[in-house]
Parts: sequence; C-alpha cells; structure tokens
Amino acid sequence: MRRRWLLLLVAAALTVVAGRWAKGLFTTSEFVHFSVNFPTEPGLPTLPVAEVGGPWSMKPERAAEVHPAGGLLVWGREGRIVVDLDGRSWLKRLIQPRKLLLSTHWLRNVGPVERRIGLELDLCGCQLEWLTFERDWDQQSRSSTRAVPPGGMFNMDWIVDLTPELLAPDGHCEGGLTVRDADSDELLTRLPILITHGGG
Amino acid sequence: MSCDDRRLRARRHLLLRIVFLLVGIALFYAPLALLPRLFGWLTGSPLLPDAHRLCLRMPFEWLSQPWMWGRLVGDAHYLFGVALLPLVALLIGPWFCGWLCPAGVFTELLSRLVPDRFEIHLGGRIDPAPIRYGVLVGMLASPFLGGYVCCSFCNFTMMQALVSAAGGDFTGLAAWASFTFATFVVWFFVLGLFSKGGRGWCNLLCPAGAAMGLAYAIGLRRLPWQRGIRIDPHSCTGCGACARECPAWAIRGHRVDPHACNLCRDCLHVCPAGAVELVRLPRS
Repeated sequence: MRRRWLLLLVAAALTVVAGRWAKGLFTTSEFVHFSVNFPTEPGLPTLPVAEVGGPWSMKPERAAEVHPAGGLLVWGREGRIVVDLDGRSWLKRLIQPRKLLLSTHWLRNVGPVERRIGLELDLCGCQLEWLTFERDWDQQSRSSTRAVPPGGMFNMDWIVDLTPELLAPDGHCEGGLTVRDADSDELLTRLPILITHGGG
Repeated sequence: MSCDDRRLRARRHLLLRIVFLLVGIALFYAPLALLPRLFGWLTGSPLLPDAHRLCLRMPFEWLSQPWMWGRLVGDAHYLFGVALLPLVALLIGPWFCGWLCPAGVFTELLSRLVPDRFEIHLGGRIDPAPIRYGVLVGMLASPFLGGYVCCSFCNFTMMQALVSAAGGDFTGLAAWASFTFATFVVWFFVLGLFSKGGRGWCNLLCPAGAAMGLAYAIGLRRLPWQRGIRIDPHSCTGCGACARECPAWAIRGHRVDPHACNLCRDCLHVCPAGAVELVRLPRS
C-alpha cells in the first residue's frame, strides 16, 4: 500500500514538473497564448472592470482602473506580447524551427455595446495562416460575422511562418495586433507584439 | 467451447471494436463531431464542433482561474463532457475508455500489427492505477503550482489532428510545440504501437481515464446493477491468456483491478476455460 501511495506522489510531482516546463513554452516562445481587451482606445466607453470580470478583478486595488491598452495578458501578465525565440527547446528548433503559433481565445469585449470586430496582424512580413473555431468568421474580410456582446469573447489563432531574418540571432520584429470595429472601422485597440531573441 | 468457436468469437469481438472505433470518431471528431454538435446546438454555442468542445481537462484548469469560472456556465457544453463521461462510468462502467475513445482504441488496435518481439511489456510489471491517479492529482494541482497540463499533453485532441489529416486537412499538424512532439512520440509510439496492449498512455498518463476509473470503482462498490469482470478461480487453468491479452494491464492472477479495467472485454474472448465473466460482483 505504501508503494502505491509513493507511486501516486511521484507521478503527481512529475506531472507538475512537466506542466511547469510546458507553461514556459506556452507563454513565451513556441505556442504563445494571450488575451486581448477591446475597446481600450481613449474616449471609447468601457464597462467597470469589476463588472466585466477577468484576471484583473482578482486584484481589488485595480477594480477602479481602466482596462490596460491592448489587453491584460493571460496568467496575470500585461502589456505587450514578447515572444522569445531563444526560449524554444531543441526539439522545436529541430523539427519545426520556422513555425510559431500565436493564439488568443480571449478577444474580449469590455465595452458596453456589442460589436463586430475586424482584425489585422502585422508581423514584419511573416506569412500568417488564420485559424479559428468560431462559426461566425469571414476569412476574406478578416472580421467576425456575429457581434460580440459586452463581456463576450471571440477567438483566433495564427500560424506564423518566421522569416530567415527573424530566425537570425539578431532577428527582431515589432509588430502588433489591431482590433477595429468591423462596421465603422473605428480603432478599438492595438496590442504590440515583439518577436526577439533573448527577451524584450 | 471449441478452438474454432473461440477464434470466431474473438474475430467478431475485434470487428465490433473496430466498428465502435469508427462510431467514436464520428461522435467526437470533426468533420462529423456528432456529440459536440449536439451539445453546441443545445447550449447555443457559437463555436465549431470538434473534439476540443468536449474537453474534460480545460474546465479543471479553469478552476484555478477565477476569471474563467463564468465560462463553466457560459460555455455549458464543456460541462457536458466533464459531467457526462464520469457519470456514465459511475452508472454503467468505463465503456467510453474501452470502446469509444478513438485515441485509446486506435493505438490499441494498431499495436496488434506490431510483432511481439518489438513491444515493451509493462503489464504485470507496473501497477498502473496509482500512477494514473497521480497524473490526475498532478493535473489538478499543476495550475495552482505554476504549471499548465491540460492542453499541453492532450492526446485526445492530437487524434483530432490525425483524423483531420486523414481527410486532407493538415492544419492541426502545422505548428506543434515541444510538448506536443513529446506527447505524440510517447502516446503514439512508446506507449502505443510499441507497448504490449497499445494502451500504455491510457493506463499510465490519461487523467480522464483516471477520473472514469475512479467513478467505475465507486459504482462497482455502491450500485447494485453495476457489473465487473470476474475470474472464476475454480474454472481458471492459470494459463495467463487473459492477463496477456488485457490492454489495461488490470489482471493479476485471479484479481481484476476495477481502477484500471476499461471493460473492453478482450479477456472474455481469449479464456480457453470460459473462466472470465462479466457479472454483478459482490458489493463487499
């Protein structure tokens, strides 16, 4: 019986270790997940932070603050997205060195009115493949065909084909994700994305 | 029962397993994804139906992320997966694991094509249940300890990528991370094709299987109608055929571990003495 408990504990510990390794790659280098708030541009109305909910509502001192520009990133980090290509493991460099997956399952409407959104992703000329598991997405116009309600979410993934220039040791790209109102073309938010070697 | 009869029964059983594999693919995986489609329709989900929509893992991850709690209710189709499969295991057994889970049945059936001398024999040497429960505990604890396990090591959605690739859509294979490669090699090759029984991943590393194994073991003790595998020690000749055949590594001697057994019934069809049966077990 003691051996069974020991096996259970060792398996649990190894799972946590594996999870920590995976999370490092998930947030920084190979498969980068993040969240995006819209609208965050000055002058556009937003719901009170506490009313929308979200990671920020866990911090009471932030309840009265405005939504951070570009979004508050998943797992409590905020600001721009930094993709560190040096953080990739040897396995990734060996098998798919040119492929990077960016993913937001949480394009979140923090405003009081529902909006159809249009997306633009600029990554210094890298070829992009746009993927989503939303039903209501128009690939031609890169815009949602349903309105995202206040507090509601939309998701989008991109497979990025990194250019040789970016893969070079001094490769560097300052791009970003722009979210617009698909009906009025009004700018709702812009999230800076930095791809670099060794962190930003 | 004659040798020919036994062989015929075993062949019919294998055919049935293949049919259920196809049913599992139709139920869970795009393009058909009948269950996600049904649950999405019932809950008014705006998301396309595929294996992701019935994820049993993400809702557990969300427990550690209070900002996602609303999604447990808002995207109720996830709750169907979390509630339905363990509930079915509790009430009538882990049939999903043994018969319908494409990620498990596929590697199990494929491994039968690999010659025995190339296979790793772990059954009988490893006690799978505590390891699998450990993985489940680790998965639940991981988000609170700075880890991310739910999507990182998911062979179930990896199978979706293979099914889509078989249909000509290679998008799911286009950009993997290191942990995805590692999962694929361990699930498909090391603990799949080249593991005796082809279900090493299910037996050791599947947290969903662990949840269903636990539900089944509870059901077997508490519910009078629940049935389990029993080996009659009086009829048993001790040939060991059932233990060798068991892909879940659940049989040791005359004992069948309900925490590991997935009710695939392979053992019933190989016993030359008819000593293995699926019966109501004494609740003690």
